[in-house]
Amino acid sequence: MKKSLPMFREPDACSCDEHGHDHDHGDHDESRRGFLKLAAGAATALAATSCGTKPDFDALLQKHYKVMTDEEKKKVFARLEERTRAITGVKVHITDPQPMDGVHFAYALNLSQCNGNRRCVEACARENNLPNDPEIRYIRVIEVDNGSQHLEKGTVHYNPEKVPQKGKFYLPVQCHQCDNAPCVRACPTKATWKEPDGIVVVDYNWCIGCRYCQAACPYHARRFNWVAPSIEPERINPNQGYLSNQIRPVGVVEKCTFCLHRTRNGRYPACYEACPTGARKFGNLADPESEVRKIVENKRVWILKEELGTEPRFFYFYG
Amino acid sequence: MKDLITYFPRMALCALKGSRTYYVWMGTLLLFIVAAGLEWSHDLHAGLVVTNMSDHVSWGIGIANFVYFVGVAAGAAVLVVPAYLYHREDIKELVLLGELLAVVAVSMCLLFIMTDVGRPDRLWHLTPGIGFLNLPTSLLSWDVVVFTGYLLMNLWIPGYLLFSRYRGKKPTAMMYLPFVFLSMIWAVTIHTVTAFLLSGLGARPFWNTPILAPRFLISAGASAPALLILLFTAIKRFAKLDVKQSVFDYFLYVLRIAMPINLFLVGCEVFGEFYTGTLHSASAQYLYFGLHGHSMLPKFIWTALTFNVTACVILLVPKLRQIPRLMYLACVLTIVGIWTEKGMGLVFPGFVPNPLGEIEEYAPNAGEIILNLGIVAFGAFLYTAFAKVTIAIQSGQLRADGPRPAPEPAHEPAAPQAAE
Amino acid sequence: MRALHVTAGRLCAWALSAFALVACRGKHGHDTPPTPPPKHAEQVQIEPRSDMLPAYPCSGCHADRKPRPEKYVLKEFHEVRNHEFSHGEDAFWCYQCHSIKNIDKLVTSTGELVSFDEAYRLCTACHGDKLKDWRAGMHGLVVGNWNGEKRKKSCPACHDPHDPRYPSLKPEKPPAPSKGLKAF
Repeated sequence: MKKSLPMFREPDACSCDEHGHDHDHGDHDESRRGFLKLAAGAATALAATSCGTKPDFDALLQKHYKVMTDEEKKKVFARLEERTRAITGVKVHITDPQPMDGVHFAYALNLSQCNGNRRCVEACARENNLPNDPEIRYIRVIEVDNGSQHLEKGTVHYNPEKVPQKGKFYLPVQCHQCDNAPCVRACPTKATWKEPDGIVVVDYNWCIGCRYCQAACPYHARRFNWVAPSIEPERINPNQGYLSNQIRPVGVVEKCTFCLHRTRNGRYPACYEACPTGARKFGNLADPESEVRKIVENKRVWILKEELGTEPRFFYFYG
Repeated sequence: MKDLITYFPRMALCALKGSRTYYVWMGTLLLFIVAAGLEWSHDLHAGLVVTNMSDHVSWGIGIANFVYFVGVAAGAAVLVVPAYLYHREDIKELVLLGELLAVVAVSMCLLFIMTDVGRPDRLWHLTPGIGFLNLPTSLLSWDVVVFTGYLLMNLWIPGYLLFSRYRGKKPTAMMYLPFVFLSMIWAVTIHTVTAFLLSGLGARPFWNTPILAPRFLISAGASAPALLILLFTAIKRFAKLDVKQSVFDYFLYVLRIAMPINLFLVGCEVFGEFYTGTLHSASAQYLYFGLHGHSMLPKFIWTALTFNVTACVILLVPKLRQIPRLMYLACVLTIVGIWTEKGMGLVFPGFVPNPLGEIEEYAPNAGEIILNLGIVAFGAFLYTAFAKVTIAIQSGQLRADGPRPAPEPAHEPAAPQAAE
Repeated sequence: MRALHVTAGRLCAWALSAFALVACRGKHGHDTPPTPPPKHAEQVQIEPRSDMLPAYPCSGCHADRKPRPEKYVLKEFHEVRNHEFSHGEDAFWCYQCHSIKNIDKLVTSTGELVSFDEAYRLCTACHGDKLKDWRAGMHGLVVGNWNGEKRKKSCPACHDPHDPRYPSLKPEKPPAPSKGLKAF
């Protein structure tokens, strides 16, 4: 029998279909699944929010990140940490690092050096607690024929023995953290916004899952949790940021945050560290000495779909 | 006050009583509604993964239906404008049924949204005060505002008029006329905002065209009269309500104008997409001819266009449209054609290819179809009940107790004749 | 037209932030111009390489061997270089870069001895354009923290000086295939 993974079902107090309040998944799985099916078939629409003995009103009535006091945030983080512990047995720590004054994050990517090895894709998945089934990945690397930038003719599904392939170049795309972000404009509930340091974040616990931002994003950077994410306990990264890599609830949109739980503490994003070729460059655009600033000033950088006026903080260059 | 207390239970009672045909009809609709309810509860439990939507095509048939039924809601203006602006008495008798159609269509739209979002339990986040509306930048927030306004207006106007009628009193013009005129503008607004919702996205060149709002309005102006012709024919037949031929003539007149303009606008769009032939027309290419071997939509759009052209020919040739069967056929073809053209023909290809050029096709699966059919059934259910009560009140069959003069000598206990 | 668009966008963005400010009672009120950023760039160090070289010091073996400056077929330890030596086509051989006097050092074209930790000085004698980029952090790997202690990798960390082309790699798995829709 295929071992099923703990699912982050939301609202979490819905204990009737909760995997792993106890830790041995094996024996009860079959009966649980049976019950799940039964519940899914017979329950009314309301059941999803109140089928447990005690519906979690704290989760249901949680306020927007920006209006919560520090005290309230602390409680929320504790509740989310407890949820992960209850479901997976993993003790995680949720923090809320703040943007630094005078820091404007930006990314630069050297297309002469990127060889399409996808190390960044997988490192990002591990760092940000991205599920494998169904798969969520923030970075898509497109293999395109030299001599064209016609992405329709490229593919993300390339899988040769060795990269780079002759006659191809590789274009990794992730959230461009636009200054004039169409997704931020689109969101009807202000669940996504641009932080002072340039990172576009999502309050996963405020998003209603309308997916208008997905339609608005010209870079295909946003992902929706079509199902409650399931992650192997040993893959869970316990160092979590509330606005970045906390394990997302079902039915909300998520995206790359330049690993703000790392970068706001001075570290590099996971994709940067994973890149063996040195194609990825990250730093503070407001710092004249930073690598990205030097690149923007000295190299011929270009941005994807500049004509849309999104003003990304993600630059491509050759060098 | 006492009247207000008896008003609602009596209306409910009236909606519960009916002939056998009525029960069979409502029962069938109820079956669809229950099936959809089960499907929705399944969605809520398992997540939207049970649909065919993906990160590539993140909106599916729910939004397609939403777009179509916004048009139906706005189409109520087809009745309101001649009734109040041009004082057409024959239409004024029916205007409440048009406003209730708007109420029903807006309710359906809200249901399409509610079943489509990932977190319906968080919809309260849209309430100003306790939540946030992202105004003035989010078109979706504007949609919430205009929808709520339109719903309230269209609940108030017929609600107030019917209540006056119920009490046998003459309605005060100031109590409803301002809203009537406001709702005429508002009808345009809801459809325009919905068009802007799509056309405002630079990420989707297929939608990013100023012609979208006029196309929406014109296609609403075509599909609403077609729907109203069928509805009033049914009401005339089952509820024995006298709908004058002049009303049908008026609908046909509107149809004859709207249909050719709609086709013309489609033609303009097609010209712009294909003559320039930039890479931005990839979605149009996919819709009309298929793209890189993916060709699910062309058969639908060409069928829809054939339907629309056929309907147009029938309506424009006097000899043809005078044959009732052909006229009804034209109405059905219009409704199906426009639904396909502006629902799936507009929403789905906007996502194909995705902004990074990947092609993932979408078509609704059985679950999504059941859910959407259920919402349509809910709309039909609601409208039938509304229409029955409205007709009963207007004909004086349902009225408040007391010595007030009743327009007709019909007595309360007599079961309404309305069968639908 | 473009200016108008940008202005409109800015207006929208302004309206948005104005709204956000009104709505936001949190600590994000950011209306002052950015203060000068924290300065840490000067702390960049170049990662030493000698410790990472598996057979270093070379004198361990070469101390009692007689150096042979001419080209010949390598045996034992270095035989892989016979067909992997691609740098400079046929122009180079061992003692163009390795010092014939001190096998634990490299030698520049001016005869200066350079430690393996400073190999970049040798490389950039020819690849001057890369030196500029590498100095500025525009080329090459920088590890550590963007804001704090950071280290630069020296050229040979990525480019084998004997075969400098960046090696090809086996890619990680491709994204999950599409759902493969067969609805109609």
